[in-house]
Amino acid sequence: MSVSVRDQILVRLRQAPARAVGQRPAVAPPKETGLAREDRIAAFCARFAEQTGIVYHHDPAREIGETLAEICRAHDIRRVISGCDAVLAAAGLPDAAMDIPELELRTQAGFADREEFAEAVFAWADAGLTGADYGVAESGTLVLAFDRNHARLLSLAPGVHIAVLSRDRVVGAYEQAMAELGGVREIPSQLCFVTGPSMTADIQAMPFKGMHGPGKIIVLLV
Amino acid sequence: MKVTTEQYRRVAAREMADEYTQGFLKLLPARLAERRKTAFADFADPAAARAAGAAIRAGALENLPQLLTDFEKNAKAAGARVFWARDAAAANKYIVDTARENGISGVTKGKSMITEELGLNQALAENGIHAWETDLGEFITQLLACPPFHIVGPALNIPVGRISEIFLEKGLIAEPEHDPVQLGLAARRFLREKFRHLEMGITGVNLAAADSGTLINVENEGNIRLSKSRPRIQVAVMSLEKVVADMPDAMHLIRLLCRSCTGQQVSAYVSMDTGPKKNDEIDGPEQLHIVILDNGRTRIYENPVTRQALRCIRCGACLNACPVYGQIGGYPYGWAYSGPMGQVLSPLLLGFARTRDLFSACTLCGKCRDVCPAGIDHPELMRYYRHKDAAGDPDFRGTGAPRLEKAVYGAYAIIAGNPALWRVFGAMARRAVNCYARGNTIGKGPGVLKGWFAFRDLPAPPDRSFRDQWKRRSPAPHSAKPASGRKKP
Ligand code: SF4
Repeated sequence: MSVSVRDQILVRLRQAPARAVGQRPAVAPPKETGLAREDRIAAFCARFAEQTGIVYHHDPAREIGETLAEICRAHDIRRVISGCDAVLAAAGLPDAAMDIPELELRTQAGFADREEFAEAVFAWADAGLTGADYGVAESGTLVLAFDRNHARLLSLAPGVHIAVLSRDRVVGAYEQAMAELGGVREIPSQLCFVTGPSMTADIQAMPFKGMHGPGKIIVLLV
Repeated sequence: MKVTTEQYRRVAAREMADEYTQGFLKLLPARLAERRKTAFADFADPAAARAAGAAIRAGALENLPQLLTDFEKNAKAAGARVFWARDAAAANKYIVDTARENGISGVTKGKSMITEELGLNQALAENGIHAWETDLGEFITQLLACPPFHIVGPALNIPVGRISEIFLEKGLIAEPEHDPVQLGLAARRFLREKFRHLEMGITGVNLAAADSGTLINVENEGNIRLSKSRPRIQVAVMSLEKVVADMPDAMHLIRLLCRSCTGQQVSAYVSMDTGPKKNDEIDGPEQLHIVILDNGRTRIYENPVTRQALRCIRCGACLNACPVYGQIGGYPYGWAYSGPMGQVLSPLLLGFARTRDLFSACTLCGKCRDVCPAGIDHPELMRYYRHKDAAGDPDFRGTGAPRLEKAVYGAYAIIAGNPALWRVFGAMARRAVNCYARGNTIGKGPGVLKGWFAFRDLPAPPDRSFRDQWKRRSPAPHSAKPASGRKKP
């Protein structure tokens, strides 16, 4: 019985002799935690670019739809599936993208069924558009918290991932992002750190991007 | 995966004679070690960062029963199903049954050492379920049916020609292809079809956070994320030592793991699951099964010396530091775990009778210990295993030293414990070994000693012992008080 196996294991572990644990030395937080806002954003962008991530700075004088259209033109993206998360909404997306004439846009809310949605992200979309909950400067990492408005496969199955990141949400270290996130919402069923495109170097240590996930990742900083 | 640890010597000899492997070993470990060093440099204090990793792992183990109980409670509260498996058979059966109940005929697997340990692919195949390895390196080694060469890249050493051949044979490509990138993309296209229609994914676990019941996976390719996000059923196999107290502890270990493993600050993807998908989510698993696996680990835990082996976070830094691995590569270790990590783990999991050569072939140089972010003292363990093996400890399935060896060391103990005997036998041995001296070195020995001299020389001992010479040179040796500070003539 699994119950008894569980208890047997726990009893044996509890009865095992203790061993002293040494003192844990203090570890200084990553230096990015000490940076001022603009420097932190710059550090994030630099690190993100090191991983071949592409950053677009949105000019608030323009319409967000224009910036997105520019990105899609530059990367030959015609079909996009978008999430409906709060970060996107705050930036006016995906609504503002509806009017881009050369773009076919669907949102995840438009799918009734998981199989239909999966088929679209795998076989139809050129790119997935999502919000990013945080950017972390220490390693140029995006933090994505998935939920009903932010599907997991959007940033994974299409060849390109476009993430909208707010300049207010760039923090220094992972712990800060986690703590802030924990303060505003319940633990998501999945939380993901994304740092650059999918990659491998498994054949002859020859690195290349786009192994199973997106080969290209773009941040639209708003 | 077939265990071939017994063939260590044969395979090591083969690999040392293999020019291709040797060329490869000259480059890879050094390159990875260099990358690791560079990556560690952005810690304010790299040594403290490593020591903190060791303390986190040691502390988690001391608190293990509590952390496991908390983890289980929180994972269940989030909706996961938890199954405790005593051994590989129980774990495999649970996974096979889960697949059957759900009418599954094919699964994908994310790279996971633990399912290699279980021999899960075999168990699934016996029940008509095909398991696709989806990590590119694992995929290639699966097609070629060879063990992993290095934990970071199990197929790093395989020449493109061989990959091209097997891909042609399996219909992944139509024409021979020698560009690594094109070969990788061919594997992407092939596996993408599996992911696209996937119903069940199986992954291992890098770490788990007890206070939230969260599973953490670290990867670069995205195959683990796909195995977890696309299908309706997700199975996570977690050996019971993976759990740590909370997310901050896990975050620090992730920093260490990625730097130690590939020299990255962080891998492309770190995904953290707490329960299955929520009802209103359009993707993610409806069922999340967590298999907590013992498979001999409580026994390893009960012994306070071997417990430290469970600290390992599978970073592979020790492989790149090890001079023995650097000569022979990963194949001789004959199982899922190679290098010092394999020398530490395989003997405990498989018993000494089949793995003796692994820990005998260690120079005790300690280079692995110096890089280990979990604070494992590999040389201490190697010495301990040798001791337990020589003593024939049944707990470790040690078979005891050979009779001749025992007799020789027994006699040596008597002689070395008695000054008079020591003098007599010392003088005899001196004369005997010097028969084999050529100039100032002895390059070969008689009988059983032949093997020892095959790779080593000894300096020839002088005709007189140190004590003899001391006696002759000291004016009044018998009245000399040690450490009296008296000037010698
Ligand atoms: S034993 Fe080796 S693989 Fe395990 S944590 Fe230490 S260095 Fe990494």
